[in-house]
Amino acid sequence: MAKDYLTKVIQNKSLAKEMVALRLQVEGEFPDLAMGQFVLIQVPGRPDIVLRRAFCIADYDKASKQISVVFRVIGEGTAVLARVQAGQELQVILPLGSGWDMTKYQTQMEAPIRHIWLVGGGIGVVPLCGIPKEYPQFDYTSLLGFRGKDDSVLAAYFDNSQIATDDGSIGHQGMVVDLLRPAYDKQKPDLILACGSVPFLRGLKNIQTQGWLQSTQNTPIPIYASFETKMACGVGACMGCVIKVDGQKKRVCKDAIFDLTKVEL
Amino acid sequence: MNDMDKIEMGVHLCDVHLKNPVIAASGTVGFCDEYQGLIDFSKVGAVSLKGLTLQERAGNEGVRICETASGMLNSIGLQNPGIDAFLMQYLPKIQALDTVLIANIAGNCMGDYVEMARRLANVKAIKMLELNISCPNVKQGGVAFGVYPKDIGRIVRAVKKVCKQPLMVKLSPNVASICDNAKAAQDAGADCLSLVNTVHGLAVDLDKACVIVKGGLSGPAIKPIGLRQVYEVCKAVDIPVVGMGGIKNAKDALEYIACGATAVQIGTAIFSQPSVLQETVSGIQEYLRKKGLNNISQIKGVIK
Repeated sequence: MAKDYLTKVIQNKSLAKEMVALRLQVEGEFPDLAMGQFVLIQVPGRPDIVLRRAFCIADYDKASKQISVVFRVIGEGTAVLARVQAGQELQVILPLGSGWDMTKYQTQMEAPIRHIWLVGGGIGVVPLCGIPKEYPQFDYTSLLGFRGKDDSVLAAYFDNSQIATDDGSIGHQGMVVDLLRPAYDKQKPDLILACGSVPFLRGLKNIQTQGWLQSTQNTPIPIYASFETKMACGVGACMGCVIKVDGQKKRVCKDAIFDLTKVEL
Repeated sequence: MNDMDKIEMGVHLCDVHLKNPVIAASGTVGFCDEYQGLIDFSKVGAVSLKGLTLQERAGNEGVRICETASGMLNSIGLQNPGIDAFLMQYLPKIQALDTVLIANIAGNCMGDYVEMARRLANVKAIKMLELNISCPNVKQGGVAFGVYPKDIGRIVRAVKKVCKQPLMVKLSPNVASICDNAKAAQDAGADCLSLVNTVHGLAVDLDKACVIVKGGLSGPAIKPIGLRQVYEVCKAVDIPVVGMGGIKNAKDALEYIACGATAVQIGTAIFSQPSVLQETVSGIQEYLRKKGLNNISQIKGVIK
């Protein structure tokens, strides 16, 4: 159950231009977390900023009671959070959302999961980066897309990653979806986990509808995706963050993660 | 017994006793279940539940929320499971909560409101109805029920005929005369009023040359609007008034009460600070103690 925790900033690290990693010490009993879940951080000292900022958990350590978030500075709220100092206190609601759940995905598949693709775009790679640590029993290939070399620093969170950048400053010049076919020809995945902007996920869904993403059993490879939207409550009460899934409006905060085939983009 | 215990925070809203004057505003805590663990509802005077319609509603398309300076715009479109699903699936999970539950009802036409009030009439767990009349009347060219006094009178009279709980009418601030509308509701039999609903607003994306959200503004940005309308309505009517609009702490709540409100509703502030309801209650107690007062009623209407 989510609670509002008092946390202390342990480290504020600039990863790249306008990209920040915060490590926070959670006061009190540390909750059970899963990768893919997110937190809501109150923007300190700014009562005029009426909503908290939602960030995916990039990493956590139960023993030291610490969590890390990584975010891009896109507005006033994130700019304030990018300037917090070590030792400063932040109110953080956690854990929120459902997190990646391989056991659930496995029940909907015939063949056992062995090899997983992590397909992410930009800051959307963050919800994926902790999966190999949480599920070490699987093999992974990470296919990551970035604007350029600067924000590709996030690839350091992954082993065996292949990179595409818009400007070609590192890796393949082009879209991350360009990387899918060569990777597929090399080794077919059993499952794909994805996160990125709506255009990014739309591109992935387009590839999926082409039909060649078939498993070794010649069944469509399932793609589960985590979405990013603006949120108000973050807990499922306000209905502000819905997307259309299977013809119904589903809450990104509460009902996520979704089977990409069922999402209308 | 400490000092806090000697301070009477209870208020009577019509015939309903609230343990304190702080109410969670409709649409901000859903049907309570999502906020369990974050909000101790037993410390809250009442909860106005998410707006209900006769049939399930999918709500609006596109972007639904946009943060603005000291506020936010929403255009949710009353996404809700419909009154029957609420009664069967949601209410059983929350009816044991130690707080007063208020059902907020909305509709496309007068028949919807009347039918919902009828279905709720014998539901013991619902102690009060709140009538959301800011919805467009599809049979009257889409003008909201709450714009003109005569429309307000008509809908309040119709609902009053069937509803068995006290009826709170939620007034829109986007009108020519809030006092005329308040009086029309009172004359038609409203037991109390709540105001203000959200203020019409717009957020645009200049670079993409498009509208982001056309919806209702809430949050601290609208507090002066709500406060003025509550202040004026409290002078214009005799029935109790529940004040809302931009309340984020005990001081804001006390200002509304000092302007004549019997109770207050808090909404948007919950998103940033789920503990705001409880903190407002304790903040009011603390204020009264500091002022040497022992009853919340001693603050009510002190600003003339």
